[in-house]
Amino acid sequence: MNILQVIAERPALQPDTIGTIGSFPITSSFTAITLITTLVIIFTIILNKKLSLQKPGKLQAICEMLYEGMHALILQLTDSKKVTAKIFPLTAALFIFIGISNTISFIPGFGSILWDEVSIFRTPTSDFNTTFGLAVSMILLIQIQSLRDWGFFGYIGRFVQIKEVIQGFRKGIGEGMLSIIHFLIGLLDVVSELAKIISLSVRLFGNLFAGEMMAVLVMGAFAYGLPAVWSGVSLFTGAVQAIVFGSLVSVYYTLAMKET
Amino acid sequence: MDAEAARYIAKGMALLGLGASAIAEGYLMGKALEGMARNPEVGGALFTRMLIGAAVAESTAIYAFVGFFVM
Repeated sequence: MNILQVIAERPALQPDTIGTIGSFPITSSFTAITLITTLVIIFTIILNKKLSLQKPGKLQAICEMLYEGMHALILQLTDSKKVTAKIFPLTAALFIFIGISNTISFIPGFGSILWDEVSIFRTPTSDFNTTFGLAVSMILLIQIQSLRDWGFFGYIGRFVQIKEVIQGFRKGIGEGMLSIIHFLIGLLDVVSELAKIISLSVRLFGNLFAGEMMAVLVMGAFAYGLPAVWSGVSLFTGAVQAIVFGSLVSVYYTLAMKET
Repeated sequence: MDAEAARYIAKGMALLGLGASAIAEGYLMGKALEGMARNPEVGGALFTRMLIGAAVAESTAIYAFVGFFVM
């Protein structure tokens, strides 16, 4: 009998399907997302009732501290109060949602609630569908905002820089040749926008998935003490990845705007 | 060469990315510490940016790691 090693089941790439409503499958990550959003909404409603200027409680102080920290970080990244006021609700929501999603599986028994021998909840961000959906919606939103900010021709002109080519050839042949290179680089920016979606989603998914996989492997190597250390590392990376996702979204937003 | 052997070689090659990411992270941390030592007042601001940079640099290694498991 081997008491030093615990062989656990490796995490699956696909979430478990609990049931279907019509043709719409209810997966374990979907229920977890619903749970997290309802919990956050309930918490916010309770907090909203307790808020007071005269007698701020401990909870209010903690929330204000978090708020100020997030606000300072985004202000530092965007370097403009106007952009921060616009983007802050979105990025703060991302920080909170992804932060809770990444760390909620550390609540004991979170993954052990079963329904028809299938666990109801799983870490939502270790499911590629969640992170891909988040990344696609964020990049789409940024592109739409950019389109509104630059106007139609300005937006297209950022990728297809015909105006710069004409201006370059007016100045001379050398300038014109350089502007053709810039034109090609501008076309490549379309690819980079698509690559942003992939890199944002795979980064978040990969960190969480690799963390879960490593936890299983560590349990298989030596099951005493070592998994606790790894859990600490996972908590830390979960928090950092939430901050990274939100900050990258705000940086991309700032880059897509006119004033920078 | 049969397919299983090729798969193991591919898995090993995918993990080469981890080394490159380690070099990048070490360089990043070293430069950030250098900046902090020279100018301790901006230490806090540098530290958060360093963490974000480290997470971004680390993502390359994570891609390789995911590729390793998915293969």
